Amino acid sequence: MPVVAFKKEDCTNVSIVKKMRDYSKEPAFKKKAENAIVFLKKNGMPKAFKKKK
Amino acid sequence: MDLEKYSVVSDNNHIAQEFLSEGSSGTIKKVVFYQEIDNNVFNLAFGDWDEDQQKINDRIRSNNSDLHKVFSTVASTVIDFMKYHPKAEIFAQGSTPSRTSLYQMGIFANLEKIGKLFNIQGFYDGGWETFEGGRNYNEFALKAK
Repeated sequence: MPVVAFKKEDCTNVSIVKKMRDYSKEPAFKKKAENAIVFLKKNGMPKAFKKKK
Repeated sequence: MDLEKYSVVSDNNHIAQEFLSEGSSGTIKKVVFYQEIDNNVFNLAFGDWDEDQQKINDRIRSNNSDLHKVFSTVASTVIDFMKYHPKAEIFAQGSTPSRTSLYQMGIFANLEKIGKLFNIQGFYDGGWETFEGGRNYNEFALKAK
């Protein structure tokens, strides 16, 4: 299995909040997901991603 | 050289991340949301939170004069997300041609850093290929190397 080492400095300081708005119900984001699904049904994700297991 | 980034707040699962863009147009809340659309395949959705309308607007160009800082921040949310979802594959598609160009600029500006960590692909002329700076892609995908 590939192992990726992420250096701490690569990430922004991320603070975790216990409660955040549920963005899954946002119409604009739902539309984006639908468009992505349509595109990927037709074209799939890159085959290059499947080479390494 | 490290690019400047905004501080981010995230939910427990690191799928929803928010930050405040501060610039010439004021303070704008930006939201990056990773939607699982297939097994370990996540769509990167990005938009501005419209306080008046109480909804996401993914078509507005906020012109807040902080484009590079915004996209450095988005790129860093990708790194953070992948830290917690290392097997994930991320897909991104601009909602408008101009926003797609912004994604492209954002990836290119951060290519040195994110290219070391991720296999980045662009969809060009009917197929996926390794991301190149000079191409105009409509869709992008990345996965940890």
